[in-house]
Amino acid sequence: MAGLMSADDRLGVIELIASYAWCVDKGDVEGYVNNFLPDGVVEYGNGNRCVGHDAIRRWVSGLLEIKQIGSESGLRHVLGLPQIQGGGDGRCSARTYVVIPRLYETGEIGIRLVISYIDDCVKVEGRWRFAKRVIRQDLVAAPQPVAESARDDDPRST
Amino acid sequence: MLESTPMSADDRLDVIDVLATYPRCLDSGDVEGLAEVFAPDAVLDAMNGSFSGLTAIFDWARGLIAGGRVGASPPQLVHFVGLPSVEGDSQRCTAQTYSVIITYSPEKAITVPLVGSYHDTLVKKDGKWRIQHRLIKGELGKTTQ
Repeated sequence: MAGLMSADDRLGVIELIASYAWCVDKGDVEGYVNNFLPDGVVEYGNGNRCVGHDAIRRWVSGLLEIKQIGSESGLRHVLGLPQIQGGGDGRCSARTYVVIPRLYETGEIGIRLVISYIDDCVKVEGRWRFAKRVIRQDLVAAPQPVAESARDDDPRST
Repeated sequence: MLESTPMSADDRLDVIDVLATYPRCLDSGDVEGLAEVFAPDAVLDAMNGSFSGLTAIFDWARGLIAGGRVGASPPQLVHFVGLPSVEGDSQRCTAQTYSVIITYSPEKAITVPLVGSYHDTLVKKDGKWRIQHRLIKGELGKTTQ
């Protein structure tokens, strides 16, 4: 480990993690993909795995198409503070809780999921990217009818 | 005019602090504390209208508090603000932040009537970051608060 992580590096990682949520909720597929290294990895659900930009793009585009993500999904990703651990060598790990509220058919909002992002991050050419993101489900609410604009389904959260 | 340079760590932390001060002021009923959040000539585009200048923003906050839930003691409503996404330079930046409105009833039920988002432009004047423009958008939920 080469020294301590600087404040700028820590804030760079926080910005990466924060911007990811807005990409998901706006349906910004390219913004989402570009948060990962070209050979970046996403693991989610029960052993599902995407490797590389093309695979991540196909997965995210599919989720957007069926309104599991994006502005019409009825979901939003509200992130807590990440715990970041690393040295001054341009690599770190981070863990972040995410609360995902959902708008239900009744007009009520419930917490659909609480998940964790477990990240390996790498700084390349001055910018932090995800080398690997593991999306872990911590709490999953029972399905309920959702608002017209959104679907309820297998909570393969992003 | 000051030269713009990349945002420093101190700048980012100061911006995060300003964003965190807003819910603390509203939830505690500290209307005048919003002077530490908004620039004197700030514009607040809320879900119930547009408010220009600190006096109008104070009046808007007093209106919320008069509704009985915001700023109540003991607390009946909390603005749970998420992690902001901040982009900009040493003089001006934008920030996007989710806010989950959590209410608490006399029956001790916790509910989420609204998920909103703040879309801010902040400027640094005299070494202090303040919100120049805040747009509050409803993301989920139907309340107009």
